[in-house]
Amino acid sequence: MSENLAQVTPAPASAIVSPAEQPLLQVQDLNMVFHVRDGLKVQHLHALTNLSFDVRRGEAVALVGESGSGKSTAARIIARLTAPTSGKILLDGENVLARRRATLDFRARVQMIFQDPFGSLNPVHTVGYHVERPLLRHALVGSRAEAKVRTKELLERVGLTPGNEVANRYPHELSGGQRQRAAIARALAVSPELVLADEPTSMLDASIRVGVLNLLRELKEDRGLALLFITHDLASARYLADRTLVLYAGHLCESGPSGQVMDEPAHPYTRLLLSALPDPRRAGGVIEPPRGKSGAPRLIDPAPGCAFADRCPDVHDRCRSESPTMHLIAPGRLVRCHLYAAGSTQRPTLPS
Amino acid sequence: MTVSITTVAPELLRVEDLAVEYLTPDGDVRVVDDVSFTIREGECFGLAGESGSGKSTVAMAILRLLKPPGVISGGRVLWRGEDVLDFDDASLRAFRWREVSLVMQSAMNALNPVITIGEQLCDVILAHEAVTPVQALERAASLLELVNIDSGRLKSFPHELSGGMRQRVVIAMALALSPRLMIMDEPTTALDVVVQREILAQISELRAKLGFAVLLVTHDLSLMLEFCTQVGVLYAGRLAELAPARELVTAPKHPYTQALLASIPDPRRAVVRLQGIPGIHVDLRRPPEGCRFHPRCPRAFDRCPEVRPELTPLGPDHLASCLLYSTPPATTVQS
Repeated sequence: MSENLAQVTPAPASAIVSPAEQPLLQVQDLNMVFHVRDGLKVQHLHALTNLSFDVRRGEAVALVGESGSGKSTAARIIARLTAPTSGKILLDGENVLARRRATLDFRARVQMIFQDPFGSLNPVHTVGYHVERPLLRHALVGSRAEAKVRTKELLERVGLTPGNEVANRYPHELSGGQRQRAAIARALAVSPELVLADEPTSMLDASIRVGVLNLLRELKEDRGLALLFITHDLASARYLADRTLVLYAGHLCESGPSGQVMDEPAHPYTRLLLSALPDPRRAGGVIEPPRGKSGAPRLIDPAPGCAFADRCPDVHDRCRSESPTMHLIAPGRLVRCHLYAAGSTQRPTLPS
Repeated sequence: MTVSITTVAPELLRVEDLAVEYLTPDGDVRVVDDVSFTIREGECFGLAGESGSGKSTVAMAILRLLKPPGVISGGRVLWRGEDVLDFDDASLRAFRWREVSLVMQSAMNALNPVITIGEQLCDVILAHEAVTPVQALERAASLLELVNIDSGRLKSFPHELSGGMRQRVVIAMALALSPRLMIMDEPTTALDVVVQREILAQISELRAKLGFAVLLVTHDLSLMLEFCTQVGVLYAGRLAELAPARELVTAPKHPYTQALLASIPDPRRAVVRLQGIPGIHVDLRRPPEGCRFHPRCPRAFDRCPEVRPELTPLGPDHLASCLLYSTPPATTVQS
């Protein structure tokens, strides 16, 4: 097992912490290159580069990153809404990309929840229609009457009570939080094993957000549902996810148990992100500048070396010429940074 | 100057019992209900609230920029002692931008996409001041440099700049006429956290240098508490609590503020389980009687649905509108 590896040993990207049991989802060397037309020239935008990770049964994994990090692209590829340029997606060991389109069986096992609860429900149909449809399409119920009963149960499971009354309402009659709950009920209708949630709470108010996070947590615990939680909010990631993966410019730069990643961030980018978050305990009317630069990464014709080099406070010569590899720094903790290479004496300068 | 209250700086803006109503065919909806607060010169004041709390409406009402069917139906907005609601067009024109400027949420929408940012900056200067176009351009260049953008960027179009740079251009524009107060409505909500901190740090620095006051409107309570010195928390159009930021963090008084603070996960600490606030937002067409928060309040008691709480002083600059703190004392009083 990888836990036996000595600290600070380069680990191949595919050897991501593999426990004895087979993970539910394995993402292997996923690459996504978009072709962007600029006049007559076609440019290559590298949205994801060799992304590999696993999600175990009943595990919640957060994929965090700023805009342009590739987190939503990854979710859309895994949901089979977009085909990747290369790479494998294994569900229970079987490569789902081998089939040209997603099968009904795949859709029954992997469901998605989107960010915008206002855009993901059809305004001309009732809430009940949205939840009944997958039940009927997947032949999970014998009759419409049975579908109605099941819909009521599902709506009540996600906290929309009384279920039969909510089922008759239209999306516009619900608040943002209620709509997101309805979208969750729809995703649950087919009893999936994995739910991909793309920023499911970022459009919700603070007092409502925790309720939806708690619901996802309960579903994980009660039903053994696995979650891939895509978010830019590190606080929600820590709250919901067992493990957190940090993406930068389409590269996985750090992963590990959420608490460890947040308490002892290893990658200079993770350190910068965490130090930039607002902290009410520093209340006082003055904001200190971040300890590192902002700036969008170059996704078109990326420079050789580390994608974060231009913004990194710990940049050195090697970072500009050579792409860093993954290093295992503790059990379950991977970091893609030259600072952790064998023989490197430097350590990050940013206090976390 | 009419009044100068208590401590340090003189009073700049005083909002008194401000009420805003939306006149709809189904009846009038009161979205801002008797809101009062004061901003002193150079102060950084925050107005926090969730969607529908009326925070942006208050900001727009101060500038008298409400769009129909929204109307100011009561109260006063005193700018250095004079009521903005009595201003004629000429005084209003001088008041907007020269005295109080506005930075909106989406810099992408605030800038005209087909005009260079240099021209847009010059427009602001030329519209309000008697200067030549050449002088205006010089001013525009120094404004850009003030927000750390190379003046060579004057010829750039908005789409050629990153989101953070565009927001900085909007801030430069807001500072063009050296206003005494800058209203910022969710200025960094669409930006990544590192850019957000860069921009707010820059505003902190400019504020120290130029001495303007800030009214920050946002739903992001953690950000507001770090950035502002005095904070007002709105719930369903009413002020729930008004307090120095430090006190709001350490000793929030209103049950809504307490519950709101307790529903924000902290990335720096392991949290077992947060509660959130049960129930849903108030339907302002049919607001609850008495305290508007009582149906969701964990500490509600018999009088809450009947008596409307008034803002009660609980300490220096600290007020809360909750019957727990009013006289005659409720059954479960605490101080």
